[in-house]
Amino acid sequence: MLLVMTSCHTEINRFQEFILTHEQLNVSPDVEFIIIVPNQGCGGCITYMEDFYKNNKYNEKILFIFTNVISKKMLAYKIGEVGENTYIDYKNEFIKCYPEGKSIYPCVLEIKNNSVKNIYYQSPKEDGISIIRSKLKI
Amino acid sequence: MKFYIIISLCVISLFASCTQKYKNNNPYVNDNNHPNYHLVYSGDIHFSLDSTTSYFFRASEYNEKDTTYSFLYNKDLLVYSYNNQKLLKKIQLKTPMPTSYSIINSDSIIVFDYLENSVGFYDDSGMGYSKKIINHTIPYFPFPSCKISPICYEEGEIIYWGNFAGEYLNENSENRRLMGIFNMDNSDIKYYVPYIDFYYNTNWGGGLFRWVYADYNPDQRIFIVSLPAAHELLIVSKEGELLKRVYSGSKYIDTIESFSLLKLDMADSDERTKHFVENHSYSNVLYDPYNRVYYRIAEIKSEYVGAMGWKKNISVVILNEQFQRIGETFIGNCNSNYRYAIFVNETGLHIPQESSEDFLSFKIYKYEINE
Repeated sequence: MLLVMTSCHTEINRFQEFILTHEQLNVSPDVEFIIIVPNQGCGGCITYMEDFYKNNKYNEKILFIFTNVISKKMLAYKIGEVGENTYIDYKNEFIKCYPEGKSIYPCVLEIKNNSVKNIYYQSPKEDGISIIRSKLKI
Repeated sequence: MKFYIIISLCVISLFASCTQKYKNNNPYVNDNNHPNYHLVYSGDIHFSLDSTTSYFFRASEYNEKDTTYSFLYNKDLLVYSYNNQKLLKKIQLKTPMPTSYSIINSDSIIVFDYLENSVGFYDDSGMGYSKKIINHTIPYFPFPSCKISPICYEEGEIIYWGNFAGEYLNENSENRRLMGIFNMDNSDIKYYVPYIDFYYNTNWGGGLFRWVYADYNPDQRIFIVSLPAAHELLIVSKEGELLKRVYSGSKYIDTIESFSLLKLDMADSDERTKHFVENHSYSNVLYDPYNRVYYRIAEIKSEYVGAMGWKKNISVVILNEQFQRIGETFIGNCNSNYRYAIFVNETGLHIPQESSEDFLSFKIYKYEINE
């Protein structure tokens, strides 16, 4: 149990540190969730998150980060017009924050007081989107 | 006490089975008796891509009659002149999820739709006509989710190849097959050609090792089929009869290991992709009608660096029309999407290369005798 808790803490710290020190990423105080979507990975999970993006790209409480971009053109085709609360990680830096084995899944960071409070994944075993829907009532 | 001993033995056996793998060894890996022919790099060709088109597509075709090269990007079918590399037309196919196609003529494009489970004819405005849903009669049916094998049309029947993803406890040579013949008049579907036996008895990860690569030799009316975990090629008649298996292994591939012995031993897609990358494999087989030889692609195992960015170097095994190995050329690195774009024409074997997204670039290799 202690090992699991320590592991989660390290994971949170990794994302936290990277987001806080990233020069180009300005996280608004209104943001309650940061969603990181890898361009390549678990197809079903990513497609589900891309559809979620199309319906929520203008929601000021969510910051979307697209990483692991293998094709700018393909990404543009999938997500259409980019909303204001969107960051395209062309240098594929955010994928390095992921723990081993998870980089194929979209990741939901719950933000409170400018800190990462929780991490959820969108995977066959976990439904990160449901957490967002529940807390933001969308 | 006896009961606990039996349970313990069962648990130990299960654990042992989980860690064991099937090894498909290459019996002639050191056989280099006939290295008479090879491929020589002879030049490049580039096709310009517009602002919305990428080279990350999964279906393409070279048409000898029209000397055109085409590919399917999302729902757009782009047709280029090979001779001057100009875009001739961009056809938006009016179907939700096209995954494979073949251009018969300008008014007859056969298109498979993965979402609809359909096949139909489309004209050059992208409108479908004579579209039919395939009502499959076996649980693990073939269907082309990309174009790595040919589509043939003859006397109202469409002949195609494909695979069904996954590993299943109850799969066998009757309910999991690789070739379909669909009758466009009465919608009758028949299935032919099972996997090689070891595929049914072991776990190959359900994904990339299950793919079915093929090409067609119209002079002999035969299909040549390459399975990723098999050192042999399957030679199949147009009617679906397995005629023979011929050895066509690579000197760079000593063995190919399964994911596990147990069908139920499934991991997430990351682990299964890792297994594929860290094992050797085979991919495309192409018939070169100009030199009357076959090229079979061998993929050399490499280090898995994650879902993005993994690659394998490739080597090309060369076989004559009697399927005797007559040479092999190590190519090395190429575009990660190569398996969908590689083709042969009069100029040579075209292997796609890494480039900016504004170009689809190929290196051309000519078939030559060793001096």
